[in-house]
Amino acid sequence: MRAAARSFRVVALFAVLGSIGLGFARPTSADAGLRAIEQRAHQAIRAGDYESAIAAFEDLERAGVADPNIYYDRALAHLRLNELGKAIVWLERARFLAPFDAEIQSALAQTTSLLREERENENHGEPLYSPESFLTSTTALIGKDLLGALALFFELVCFISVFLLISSQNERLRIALGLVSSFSFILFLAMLVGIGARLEWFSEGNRAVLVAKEAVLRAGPDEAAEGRRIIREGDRFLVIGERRGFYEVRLPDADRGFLERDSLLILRPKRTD
Amino acid sequence: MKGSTPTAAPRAQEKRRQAVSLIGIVLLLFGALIPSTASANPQVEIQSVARPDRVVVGQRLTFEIRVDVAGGRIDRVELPSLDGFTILGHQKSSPVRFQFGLRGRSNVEASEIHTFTLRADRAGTMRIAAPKAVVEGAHYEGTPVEIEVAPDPSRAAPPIMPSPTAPSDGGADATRGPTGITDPDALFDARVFLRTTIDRDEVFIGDQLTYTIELYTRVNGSPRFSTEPGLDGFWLHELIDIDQPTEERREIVRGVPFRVYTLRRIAAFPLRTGELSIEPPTLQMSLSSAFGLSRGETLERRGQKLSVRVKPLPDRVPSDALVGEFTLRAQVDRERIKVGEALTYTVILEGRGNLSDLDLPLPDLPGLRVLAPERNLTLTRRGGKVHSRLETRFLIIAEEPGQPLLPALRLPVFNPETERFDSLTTRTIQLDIRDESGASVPSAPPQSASSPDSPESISPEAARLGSFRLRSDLRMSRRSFPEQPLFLVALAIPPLAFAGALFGRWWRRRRGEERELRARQRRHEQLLALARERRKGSDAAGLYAAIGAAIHAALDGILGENTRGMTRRELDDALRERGLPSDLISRLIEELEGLDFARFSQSSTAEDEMDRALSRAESLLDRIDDFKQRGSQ
Repeated sequence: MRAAARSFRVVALFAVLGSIGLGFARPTSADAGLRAIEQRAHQAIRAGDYESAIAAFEDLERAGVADPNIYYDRALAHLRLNELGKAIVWLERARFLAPFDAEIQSALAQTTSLLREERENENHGEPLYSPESFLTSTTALIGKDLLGALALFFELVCFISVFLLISSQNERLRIALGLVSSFSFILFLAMLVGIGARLEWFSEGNRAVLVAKEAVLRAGPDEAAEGRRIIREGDRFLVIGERRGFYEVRLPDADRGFLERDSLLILRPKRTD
Repeated sequence: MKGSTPTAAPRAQEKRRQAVSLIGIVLLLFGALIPSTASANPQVEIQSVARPDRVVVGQRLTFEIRVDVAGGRIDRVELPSLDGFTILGHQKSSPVRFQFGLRGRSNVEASEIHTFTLRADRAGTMRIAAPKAVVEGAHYEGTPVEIEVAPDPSRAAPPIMPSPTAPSDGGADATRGPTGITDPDALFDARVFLRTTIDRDEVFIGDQLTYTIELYTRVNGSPRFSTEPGLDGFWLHELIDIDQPTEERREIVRGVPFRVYTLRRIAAFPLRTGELSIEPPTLQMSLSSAFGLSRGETLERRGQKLSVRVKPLPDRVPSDALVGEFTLRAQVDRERIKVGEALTYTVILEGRGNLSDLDLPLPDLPGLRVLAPERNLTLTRRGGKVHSRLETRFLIIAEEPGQPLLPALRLPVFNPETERFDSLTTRTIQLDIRDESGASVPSAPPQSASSPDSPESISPEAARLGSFRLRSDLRMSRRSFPEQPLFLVALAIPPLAFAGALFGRWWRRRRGEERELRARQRRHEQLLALARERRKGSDAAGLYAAIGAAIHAALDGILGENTRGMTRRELDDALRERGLPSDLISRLIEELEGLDFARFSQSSTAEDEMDRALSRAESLLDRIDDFKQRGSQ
């Protein structure tokens, strides 16, 4: 019976590790067609034709490419065209894919600074900004895959140590196992909450950035609806719904209203990461 | 009607006079509103002053060029060469004032002031050429300036020994509290008194100290400082506009209500370390009556002497570090120019702290000529703190084609609030300088293995806010691991495995108990079979011993412990606790007692007695088995 229980545990362990491995497996297909589009984008950048480069990047996006380098280059192309809102969106997306990339972080900080400067010059005040939650900011530098793997690891450690704790008669070992199980359970919960924060499980909506130069926040989802205030490029807010071609948004100062779909971009659209 | 004629003439005259007056006023106004067509020549005054005009080599001096124009605009000011001097700083201001007069005539007064901070490089009589100005297209010229520069005497003379430090005059005022706050109770004067305070007793060198002078008064009068506070060793900036009326507040000192005015609030930045004392100000107040009339009496009040301990910067911090909290950024107005053209490289340093003495250097750059920078310092007050904005503009002239780099400027900064040391850095800017034919020779050696996709082949414009990467793995969009259903499956495996392991343990224990039960059951069946054999062999003692052992084995199976060592009473209690029926317990105990007796009784050896004993034992064991089965169900 002991041998059977041991083999059961080994199988369970391999099942978990195997699933982690499968989760990390990255499909990296780069067929000739996509390479050709990429080359087109690069040539356009060299020629200073940033509009064409962005068009090629859009083709890559439609084909399902989600590469931090492509996102970064696209953000820089938007910057050259002084489209600061779009540049911020693509830098944020690039950062989401490559959280440890210092160049992306630096470019994002500089672009944000540029936006503030531009606002200041135009006497429009500070851009609206909804700060990231504590959990999001603390887990921002950890990839979601890594968070998932760590959650599984700590969960496994927790359950194994609890099982050994129940089985063991050695008092010292039981104390050690009690500590290990407690800490690993806390860390497991922290990883789960971190994943939830990264995947915006606890968020009221999706974070978004205004990419039009300015847009009118309306009281209803209609162009004839009363305008409440002007939202400017680079302002950040939450998209909490969608009605008749308008996004319902909530601003950081709790003001709510409707914005035209084309005027904004959601920072982390589904299935793009 | 006739009767009315004598009074009609004066009335008509009156009306005529009024009409003439009205016409006159209208004409005057009309004339005033007609725009003047005559254009007067602008009045231009060009002054150049050196302070002081006699210096020694290495000494600093200020040279100011001032162009004042009335009735015109300044097109440009041509600055003279400053050979023989090193330009340490350059500030330019261009105030313009408009005045609107009668006849639609607007009067423009424009000035352009250039203030140079110079250091004399060599001895002799230095002649600075006359500055020139172009005003409304016409050229004007000022007067040259001569500066006497004497050799540096310190190089020839023996070193001067430091004089002994002057004895302290008693230190800080006794009325001062431990944190530099002077208690108004200790300064109390029934009519008027001065209170001088500092916000801290101890500061880092270069950090802001706020010095405040407050007037507590119950009388009316005109205050005037006869002695200013002695703030030697500090760089000062007024935080209150002394030309504006001060705010009044009420405060009760020793039960007496006073009107309190903040006369001065000064941001003082210590320039040297050690114990610095602030000499008290003296204020004279000419008393007046409630109606503003002078009463002829003048009161004189003196503030308190204060002292501050100025700490040096921590060891790890360079002595030339800026003290405060600043941001630094740099930009050029264009990155691609031709040889001979100029670009402006602007470095903006701003934040909380004092930048009055900072001159940003720019090293010699091959292929580029950097002219003396234009330095523009703006000081503002925010929340009682001095905020500085230093904008330094370097005019850079391209002399050779190439792609030189404007190096990153690095400034050490020490934040006295957090006591953190940091470095501010600007970005490196790559320029693209082309010759007349449009060719650019890269200053860096070309990379032989450079592919056409390499970022080096991108124009310098791309260097703004980072360079394009132009490479990627073309990674495809995918759901991250936690978003896949597999993650939930993997997440469920450990708790399921745990539950399975617990179930396995429980199952194994149950199986063990069942095995033990069956073993015990088999044991009493074996003993009963042994008793039957003894009966066949007419072995009475062996029969009763086997029956007793079989009953005990069955009871052991029920109670899970050995029952042979128990007294009858203990056995009775244990069986009752286990839930056996009372009659069965009584019969069992009677049977066990009877068996003990039978082993030593002659009558018990009878055949029929042995058969009855065996039969009773079988009946009892059947009932025990029934009980066990019911219990297990």
